Amino acid sequence: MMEEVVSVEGLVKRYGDVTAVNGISFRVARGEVFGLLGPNGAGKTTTVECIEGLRVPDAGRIEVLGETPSPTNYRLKAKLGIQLQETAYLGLLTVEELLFTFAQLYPRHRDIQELVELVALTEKRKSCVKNLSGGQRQRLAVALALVNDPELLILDEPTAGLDPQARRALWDLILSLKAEGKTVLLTTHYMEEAEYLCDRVAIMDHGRIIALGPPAELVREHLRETALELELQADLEEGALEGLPGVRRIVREESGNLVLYSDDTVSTFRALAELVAAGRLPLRDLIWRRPSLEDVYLLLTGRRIRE
Amino acid sequence: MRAYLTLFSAMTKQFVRDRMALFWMLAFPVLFVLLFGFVFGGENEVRFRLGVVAPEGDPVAAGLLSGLEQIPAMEIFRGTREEELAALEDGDRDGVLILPEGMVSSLSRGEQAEVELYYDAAKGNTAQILVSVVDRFLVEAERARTGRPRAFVLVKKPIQAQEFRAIDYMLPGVVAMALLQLGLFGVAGTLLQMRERKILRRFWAAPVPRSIFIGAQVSQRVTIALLQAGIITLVGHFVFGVPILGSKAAVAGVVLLGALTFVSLGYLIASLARTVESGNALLQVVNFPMMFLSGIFWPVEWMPGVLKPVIYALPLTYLGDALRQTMVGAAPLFPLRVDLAVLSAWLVLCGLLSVKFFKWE
Repeated sequence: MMEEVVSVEGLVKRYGDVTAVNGISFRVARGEVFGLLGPNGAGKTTTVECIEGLRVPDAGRIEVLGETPSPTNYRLKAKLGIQLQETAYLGLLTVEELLFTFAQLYPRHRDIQELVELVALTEKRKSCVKNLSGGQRQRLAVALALVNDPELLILDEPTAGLDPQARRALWDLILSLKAEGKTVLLTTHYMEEAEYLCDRVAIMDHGRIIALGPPAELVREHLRETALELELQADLEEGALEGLPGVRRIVREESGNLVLYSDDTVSTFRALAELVAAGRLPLRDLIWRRPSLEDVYLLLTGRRIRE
Repeated sequence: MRAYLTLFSAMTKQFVRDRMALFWMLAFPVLFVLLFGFVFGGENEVRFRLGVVAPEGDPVAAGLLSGLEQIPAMEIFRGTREEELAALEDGDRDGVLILPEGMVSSLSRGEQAEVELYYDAAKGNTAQILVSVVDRFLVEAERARTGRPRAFVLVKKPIQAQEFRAIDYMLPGVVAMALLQLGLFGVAGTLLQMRERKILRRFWAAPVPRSIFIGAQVSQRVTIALLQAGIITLVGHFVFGVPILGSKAAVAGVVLLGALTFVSLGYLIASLARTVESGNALLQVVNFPMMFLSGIFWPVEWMPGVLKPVIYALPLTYLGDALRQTMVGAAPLFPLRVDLAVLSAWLVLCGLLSVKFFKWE
């Protein structure tokens, strides 16, 4: 592995009787986009807030850019770019004024005009913060995180509540930052976001990491099966398809479609083709689907992530 | 220093662009002074609107009338009996004086002339004063006719150089009120909101010690307080002629101490409340007794004795007293050094408790 920017060892954080983070360990390498993935309440935000030095862990060791985070480690805070989940700002300041205010709190800062252009808020730079739309506010939050030209960017649910277009724009922004060589640690509960952006993800559930690795590898590791979704012209018993080569499981979806999980796609295909040729399978359409992180999460936790 | 100045300037912008805050902190106290000043009067004297019904061409009646017109407190209206009595019924006159026909002839025959005074008995004090003023005027008029000298002469010796008016008492009270409101709503209210909306948290993610943030906020609010006190005092002085007897430095010093005390009280309230809702409830619980029991609008002597322990526990009682002493030279409730000591004690106490209990999230 390359140079480590973040290293977390056995992190534990409790709030009263509730253990929000229960002994997790992971590392983030320089230049990668690392995602903490999981449903609400999984412990993602607590984890990043410990890394940011906003919370003090109950146990474990954290090292960020060679420093130990703490509420008063200002030298480390100066090197971090932080976007907090759902935060607000002095709403009567303009976009430029707010960026300028935060810029002055750091030892060095990026050019404000350039930053405003980077997050596409040029037209809004003289507008009061409170008059911004949700997407604009989120982009402003990212701009504020970038104001000190940080080595490590920590984004907590950067695209929460955004419409698809705004989300896509923010993804492109994050990827362009990665191209600049920034290290990005982000949390999300959107699986497709993690698959699109992250070099590696850690899937969290109930304060633990239940899977860690590049998204594609996680899928390959946990789900070797391919999903074959059959749309039928007439009803058909699942039993008719059991025992076909490669088929591990058959699931009937609410739409009436049958989904075959196969660990030998080619053999299953051939068998299906023979059935169709013999007129014993009233097939209208067939969809071949690669399993996603969502399927991995479902497999590992038995729950859908967005409940 | 750069961080401090930036935060100071950002908070100032946020404050002056908040129209509600501006209204409550600056316009409201000034309106209060103006309203109070105009209602309870710059000139502290009573004026009577007296309707006079007098027969034409009677030299005695004409003499009385011109005498009445020379009394400064009297505003004389003339009309028929019916008109003037109707005006009295409508509340447009405080009294109606009716001079009878033929006073010259009846007086020359040595008979009494009956002069009727109608007044609204429901008006209490005003009516009584009017009756005695008119009665005394007639006695004087009679003495002038007979040419008898006065046996007793009243020499008026007011002991106060300057007459002390309600507005003079009130003005330092409004300054005290403004400082209270700034501490409660301008500091505690703002902090509670900034905490609930996680604005504080975002500042805390930046490499700035909390002390700088607090320092910027306290000094920014204290600056507003000095500005407030200055504006209110100037309005009182130039519009209503409230005399500013104390030195500007002494007044500014008391305002500064008062502002710091109530800013620290604001921090304490923000420390004790967990949410904006509970905080607002707590603010009102603190605000109401302070506004009405601390003698900033009327003397504490007017309030029932059972409330004395509460009254003497409130810091605003001492701030109001200290301001009245230094600004308009009012009779002190406590020696100035006691006022200052109690305010300082409150400042230190609230400050220490805030340091202990204040939560950033």
